[in-house]
Amino acid sequence: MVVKGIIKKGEYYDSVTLMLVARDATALDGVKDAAVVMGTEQNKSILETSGLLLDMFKDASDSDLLIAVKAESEEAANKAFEKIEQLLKETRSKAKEAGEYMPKSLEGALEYMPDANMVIISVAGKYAGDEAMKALEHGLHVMLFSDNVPLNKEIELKKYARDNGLLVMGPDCGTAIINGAPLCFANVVERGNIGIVAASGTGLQEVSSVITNEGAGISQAIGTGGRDVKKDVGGIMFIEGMKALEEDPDTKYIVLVSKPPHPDVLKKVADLIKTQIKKPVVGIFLGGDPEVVKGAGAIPANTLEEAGLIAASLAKGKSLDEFKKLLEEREKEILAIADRESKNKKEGQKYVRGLYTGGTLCDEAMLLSRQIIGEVYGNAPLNPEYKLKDSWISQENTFVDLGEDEFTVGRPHPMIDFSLRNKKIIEEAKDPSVAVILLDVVLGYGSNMQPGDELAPAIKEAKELAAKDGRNITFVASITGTDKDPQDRSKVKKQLEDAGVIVMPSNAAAAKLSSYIVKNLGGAK
Amino acid sequence: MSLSLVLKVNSVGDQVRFGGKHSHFGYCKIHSVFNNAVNFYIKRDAILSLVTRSVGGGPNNIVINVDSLSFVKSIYMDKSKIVLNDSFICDIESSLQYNSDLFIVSKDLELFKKGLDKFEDILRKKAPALSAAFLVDKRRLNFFITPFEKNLAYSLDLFSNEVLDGKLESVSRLKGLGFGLTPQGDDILDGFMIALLVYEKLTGANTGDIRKKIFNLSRGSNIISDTFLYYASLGLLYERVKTLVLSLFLNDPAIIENAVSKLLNIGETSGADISTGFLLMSKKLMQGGIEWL
Amino acid sequence: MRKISDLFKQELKVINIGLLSFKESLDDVGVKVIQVDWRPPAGGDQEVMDALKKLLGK
Repeated sequence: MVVKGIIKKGEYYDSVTLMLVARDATALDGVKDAAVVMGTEQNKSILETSGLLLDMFKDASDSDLLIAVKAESEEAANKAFEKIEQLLKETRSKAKEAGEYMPKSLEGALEYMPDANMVIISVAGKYAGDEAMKALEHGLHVMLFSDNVPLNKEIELKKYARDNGLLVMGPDCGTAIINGAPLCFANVVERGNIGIVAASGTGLQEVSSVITNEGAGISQAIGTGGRDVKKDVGGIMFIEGMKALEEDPDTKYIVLVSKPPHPDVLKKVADLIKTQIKKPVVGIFLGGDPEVVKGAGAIPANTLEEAGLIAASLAKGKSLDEFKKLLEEREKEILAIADRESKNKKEGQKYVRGLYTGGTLCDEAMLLSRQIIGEVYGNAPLNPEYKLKDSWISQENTFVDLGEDEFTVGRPHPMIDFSLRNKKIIEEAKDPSVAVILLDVVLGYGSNMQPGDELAPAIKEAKELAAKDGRNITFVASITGTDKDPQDRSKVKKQLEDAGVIVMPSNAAAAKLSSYIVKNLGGAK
Repeated sequence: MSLSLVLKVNSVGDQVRFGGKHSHFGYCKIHSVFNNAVNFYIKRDAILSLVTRSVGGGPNNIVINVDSLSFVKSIYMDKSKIVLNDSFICDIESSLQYNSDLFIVSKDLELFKKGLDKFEDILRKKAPALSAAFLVDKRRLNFFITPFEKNLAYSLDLFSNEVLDGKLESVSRLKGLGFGLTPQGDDILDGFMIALLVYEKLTGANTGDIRKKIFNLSRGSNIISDTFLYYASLGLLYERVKTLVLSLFLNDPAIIENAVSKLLNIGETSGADISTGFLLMSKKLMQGGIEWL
Repeated sequence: MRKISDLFKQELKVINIGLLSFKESLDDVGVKVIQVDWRPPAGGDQEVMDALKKLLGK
C-alpha cells in the first residue's frame, strides 16, 4: 500500500466539487481512499485517522489544498493524481473557457452560423422561456431541456411555434433524436423509418433502443416534455409532432409514447389518427387502458418493449401474428429462467428489490409486477397506500426510484453517479428475505460512461455477502441503449454477465422475470 | 474615452466603511472568485465580499445587481467607488445600507419551538447529501461513502456533540473540519452562535461572552471563515440567516419553507451546515437553558 | 409557409445555450454546433443603459 500527496496553494473550490473529485479518484482500480481538503489542523487529524497524513502536509496551512491518495501501487496512485488534476482543471477551465471564444448571445451565434436551425436551451427555467421565444422569433426550432419553465410560458411558446411551423420540444425534455443526431440524454440509434413522438424521455430511450437492437431504425424521435399531454397545454406539440411525421417521407411508421394523456388530448390524438394519419401508429400509454389506444385507431402495446418490437416487426415487413409468436416465445423463455432461478434459493428468500435510476422505467416495472405479484412498495408507488415509511428501508417487494428528489438533492443524478445505488445493492443483499435484485442501466450521452466497471464490484460484493450466509441472490438487469452508444451495450452486457447478472433484452422482460421468480417462491401478495 | 458601465449596487453592509482614513485605495488583492461571490482583501486581515442578489446582504457584503460574478478579474477601490475589470463601476453612492442587527419583537418561546420543528422537517428533506444535516437525521450517513468521508462524519458528530454538551474546548477541534472554503465544522459553529444570539434576544440572558469565547477558540488562518464567525460572535447576521430566524416567529409554514430554501442555497453545503448548527444548539437551549455552558 | 417536416430535410445545425456537455456530445457525433457563452441578464438591459446615460451625463 502506498500513500502519496500533493499540496496546492491558493486554489479554492466549492466543497461538493472537492468531495466528488475525491470520490471519482477513489473509484479507480487499486485506489483505496482519497481526500482533497483544505489543510486545517482538524482535517489533518482526519487524514491521520484515515492513514492519509504525510510528512509533507504537516506544515501546510488552512489555505492550502491537500490532495492525498492511498492506493495498492505507485502506478494506481499516479493514475489517481492524474484524474484529480484533470477534474480540478476541468472545473477551472469550464469557467474560463466561457469568457473568450464564444458568442455572448443567440444573435452573436447566428452571425457565426446563419443557417442554424435548432437551439438547445438548458439555462435556468426563469430565463429559458425568454431565450426560447427569441429563438422561435428567429425562425429556429427549440429543444428546451430546462425545467421550471412557467406553464403559461410553455403554452405561449407552443402556440407561437404551432402557428409558425416550428418545433418546441420541452420544457423538461431530456431527449430527442433529430436527423439521426442524439440531442441531450439520447442514445445513438440506427437510422430507419420509424418515427416517435414521446412525452416521456426515458420511455423514448427504451423504445428507440429496442427498435435499434431489433435491427430496425429511427427516422425522427420528437420529445414533447411530460406536461404537453396534460389538460392545460392540450397536446399542442404531441399533435404537431405526429403531423410532421405523417408529412415526412422517410417515416413509414409512427410510435406514440406517453403516460396516459388527458382525455381531451387523447380525443385530439384519436381524431387526428382517423382524419389525417395514414401511416400505421403504435401507441404505448403507460398505465393506461390499451383498449383506449385501440379505440383511438392505434395498435396498442402493453410495454415499451412491445411498442418497439411491434414497430420493428412492421418495419421489417413481418405481420402482427409473427410478432405475437415472438412475444410468446420470449414469455416462455422468461418462465424457464424464472423456474431455474427459483430452485437455488434458501428458505425465506422470496422478495424482489428494484433499484431504479429511470423514473419511467420504474413505473413500467411496477405496473408489470403488480399484475404478477400484486401491489409493491416504493418511494413513488402506484398505490399511495404502499408508500415506504422510510425510503431508505425497503420492505417485502419494493421498487425504489433513486432519481426522485429526496435522493438527488446536492448530488448528481443516479444515472451518472452510481455510488448511492451501489450502497443500496449491498444493503439489500444483507436482507435474508431478498431473492431478486432488479436494476436498470441507462446508456447514452449524459449517463455514466463506465456503468459496467462501476456496477460489477458492488454486485460481486453483494453476492459474496449473501454466499457467506448460504444464500444465492438473482441479479436481473436491463440495459437501455445500443452498441453504438459511447458505453457500448454489448460490452456492458458482457461485464454484467461476467459479474453474474442475468441481462434481459428490455426493462419489461427484466421486471417480468423478477416477478415470476418471486411468485414461484411465494412472495406474491 | 473608454466606455464604462455602471453596475447597480443593491446594498452595502453596515460594517463596510468607505471614505474613512483606513480605507483602502487602489487595486485590491482578490482572495477567491465564485459564481455568486468574490472575496477580496481591504487590509491584510480584513475581507469584503462582492456578492450577487441571490446571496443577499451581510455585514461585509456589497450586493451587486448581477446574477454572476465569475467574470471579475480585478477590483479597484477608492473612497467613493469600486471598479471591476477596469470597466464596470459599482455605484456605491446611491445604494442602501444593509443593517445586520437582529431585532426580534416576539418573545414567544412556544412559537419559536413550533417554528423550529417545521424548520427541522424541511432540513431533513432538503439539505444536500454531503452536508452536516446527518447530525439531525442519522439516515443521511448513508451519503458518506469513502473511508475518509466516514471518518469526517464521525469527527463532526463527536466534536459538535462535545460542544453541545458544554465542552467548549472542542470548538477548536470542530473548526476547520471538512471540505471547501468554509468547512462544515466552521458553519456548524456559525449556527451555534446564531442560536445563542437568538436565545439572548428571546430571554435576555447574556450569551455574548460565550459567543466571544467560541470565536476566540475557533480563530485560525482561514480569513473567510474567521470573518463569518467574527460577525456571528458580535451578533451581526447575514440577510439570509436573518430572514430565516425571523420567519420562525411567523407561524406560517410556507414562509419558513421559503426562508430555509433560500438559506440552503448558500455555497454548496454551507447553508445546510449553518442550519444544522443553529437547530441543534437551539433545541439544546430550549431544553436546558444556558447554565450548562 | 414553413413546416416542421422541412427540418427533417436539412442538415441539423445547432446553437447550444447552457450545459457544455450537450455541445460536446454533438461534436462527438459530428453535428455542427456552436456554444453560446450565456450569462443571466445583469439587472436588465434597460437598467444598464440608464446607468450608462447617467455616467455620460445625458
